[in-house]
Amino acid sequence: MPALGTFLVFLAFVCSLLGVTALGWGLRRGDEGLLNVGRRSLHSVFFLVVAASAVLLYLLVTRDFSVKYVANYTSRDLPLAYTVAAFWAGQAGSLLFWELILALYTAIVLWRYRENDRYTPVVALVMGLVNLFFATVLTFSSNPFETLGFVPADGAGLNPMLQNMGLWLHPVTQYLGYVGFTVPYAFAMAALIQRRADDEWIVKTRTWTIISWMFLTAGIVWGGQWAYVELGWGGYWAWDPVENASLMPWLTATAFLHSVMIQERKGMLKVWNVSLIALTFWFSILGTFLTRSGVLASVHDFAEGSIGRYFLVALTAILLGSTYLILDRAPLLRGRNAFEGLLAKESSFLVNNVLFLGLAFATFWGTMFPILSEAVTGERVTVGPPFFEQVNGPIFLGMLVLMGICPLIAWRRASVERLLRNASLPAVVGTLTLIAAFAGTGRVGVAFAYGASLFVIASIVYDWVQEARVRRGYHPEEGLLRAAWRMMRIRSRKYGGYVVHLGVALMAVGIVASTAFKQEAAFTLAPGESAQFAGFELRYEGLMLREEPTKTTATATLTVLKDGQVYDRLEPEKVFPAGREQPHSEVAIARGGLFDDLYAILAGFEGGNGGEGAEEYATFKMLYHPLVNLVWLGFYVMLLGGGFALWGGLRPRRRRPTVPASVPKPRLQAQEPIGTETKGV
Amino acid sequence: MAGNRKRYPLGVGIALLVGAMIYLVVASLSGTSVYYYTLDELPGLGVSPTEKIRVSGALDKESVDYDPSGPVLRFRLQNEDGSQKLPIVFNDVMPDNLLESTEIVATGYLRDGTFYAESLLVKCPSRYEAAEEEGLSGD
Repeated sequence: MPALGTFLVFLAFVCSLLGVTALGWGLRRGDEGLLNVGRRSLHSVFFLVVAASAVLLYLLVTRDFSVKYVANYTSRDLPLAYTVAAFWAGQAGSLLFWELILALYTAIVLWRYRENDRYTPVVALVMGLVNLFFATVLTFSSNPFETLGFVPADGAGLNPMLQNMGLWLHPVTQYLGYVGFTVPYAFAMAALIQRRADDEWIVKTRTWTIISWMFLTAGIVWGGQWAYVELGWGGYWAWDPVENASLMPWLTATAFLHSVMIQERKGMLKVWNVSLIALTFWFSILGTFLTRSGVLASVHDFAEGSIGRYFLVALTAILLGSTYLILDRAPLLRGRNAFEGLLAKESSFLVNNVLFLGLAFATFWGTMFPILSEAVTGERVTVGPPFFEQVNGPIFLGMLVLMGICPLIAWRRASVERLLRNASLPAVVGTLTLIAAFAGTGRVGVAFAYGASLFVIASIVYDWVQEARVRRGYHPEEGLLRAAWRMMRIRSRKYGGYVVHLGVALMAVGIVASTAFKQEAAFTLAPGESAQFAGFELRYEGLMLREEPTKTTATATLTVLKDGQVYDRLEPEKVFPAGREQPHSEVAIARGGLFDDLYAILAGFEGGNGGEGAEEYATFKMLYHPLVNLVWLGFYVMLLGGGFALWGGLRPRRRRPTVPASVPKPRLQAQEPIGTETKGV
Repeated sequence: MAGNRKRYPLGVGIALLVGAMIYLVVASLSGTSVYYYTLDELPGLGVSPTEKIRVSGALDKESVDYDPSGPVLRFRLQNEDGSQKLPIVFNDVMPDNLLESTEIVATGYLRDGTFYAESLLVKCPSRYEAAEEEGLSGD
């Protein structure tokens, strides 16, 4: 069975090689037959990879410990859900998982664009090359089907920290996001290769880009949430290299989502846009690489792991190839318009892009700094969270302010008077919030962040109400709410974006509050004793020890009281798996308010099961995170907004959506149903 | 052309913005960067007790002394051959994975031969490649 898996992966490698060769040759000679061979080969890659994945799943579920990967990541007592998820828990398996998603995406693209125009085969070629890379790594460096040569009695088991719902949510969405950017990248490169200067690649891949962006957002947030509930240090983001690696493509992708609107509307920023998508793809591969190798732990690991060498070659090739193509075709991509004024929506998009790129660059620099400094000076200098907070904090704040200004200014040329008239109400809301927050907390940074967030919310609501009012001028029979909803449906992309921005503003408040006003304390209590923390009284009731064959679990019970009334109960645990030194904390979280978390870690204990009273005590580390749930709420609002932008719109009845996908669609977004200059009417 | 005149301030604005961000990065680097030493490098460096540094080494398992009521965690870091040892004091909860760690990176201050850690980064065989060889070979 493992031999079959190895063979299938090898066949996938052969087929992607064949596909790439046939497509390249066919394109050169204009040979339809060869192109078809190439497409079919790539289709078969998909079936081969699906079959290989099925074999791996079978080996995992039947717990065939003769396979090294199965023996390393599962054990007999591992629940089925985690046994399946062990597929992507380790390096070799997760690379197969990457290739599985990529092969699926490739097959979908090939199936959707069946005709052999001068465009699609090039897209297939670029995607085929990425397939070839992963198939090569799987075949020659990181084979999940490698056997041990003997059959251990049991497997090593899955690290208990990974045994969480997060293992299903975070890696899967993260990879769906990372891999998804291959599609717009391939279309962009195909457009460059074929010397096409139009926007077809953007229009065709818009849905891919937004969906991949949503997956990546989910991957990042769910990763943070997983760390928050599982790692037991009480945080969701630590500016760890691997976290930064997932943030960088998100930043460039978000910049890209914004700047393509300028290209669609004005035919500008074409070079910029292909550069952004190339950078996003590059960061996705880099992110996979950083997560999968220990590079940032030490420079020396770099040369040692062979998978590192493969990725290094690929990263260099992508960088050089894309740069060459972009520079070579740049003259073709001259924009047909110029920016008309400082005060126009276009300019605010440009500033937005500069800020996003600034964030990406600063994050990249801070993450790579240890490697760079060691390479240059021989001394290792690291930067930690303070660096990222100092640099990225102000840039994020600038982004929030910009996010608030943007809905208030018109496209093309806006007048100062109009901006001032539009901005006055939201600006008053923002300023009042700022003053109130400063008076209440005495912290300048926090006050600005709160003020900016409220400014964003107010300006969105203001613009929305304005547009609904304009609509009511034409449809007096509609109420304000109904008119607002209709506007939202008609201009779903714009309002979907607004909803995303609302989510970001909520998240910003949550992040700032839970970071700035976090409370932390440790208490050692004997049963019956109480401690005061963050306005709550915590009473330690006692400890339960539960022994099972595979583990021993210690559960401490804390009763949370507020104003003498029982408010909630916290039961943090420490689990000791049999035969391992490493215990594992299960934190307990209670709602400390509408959006606040009361977070308890069982740090240590003596006694238990109501034994000898004098000897019995437990130590708790307590954390209080005000408004932390706004982070998660904001995220769900962002997802909702993204989904609405994609699917929430009203289809105009006159236009039939049956136009073949290959025909460039009319540029709907440039001619929206009602004029775009509705501000302040 | 009016357009050209108006483009000028946009370009200047962007340049200013980029300049400000570069300044922010450079200024923050000097304030937040932390030198990273291995245990072998540490003796004789004369690190000031007020300078925050990072030290990495392996755990000396025998030395772990954890008092959860503090909580205070004391242990020693050692280099590869065990010839250099550094006592560490960490006033926080013991990380779960401490005993199975392959490498520990401590950030804090060195005072009179003892390292007072503000934070500990505990590296496991790897977050994903956990328990790579152990538990397999024997049985």
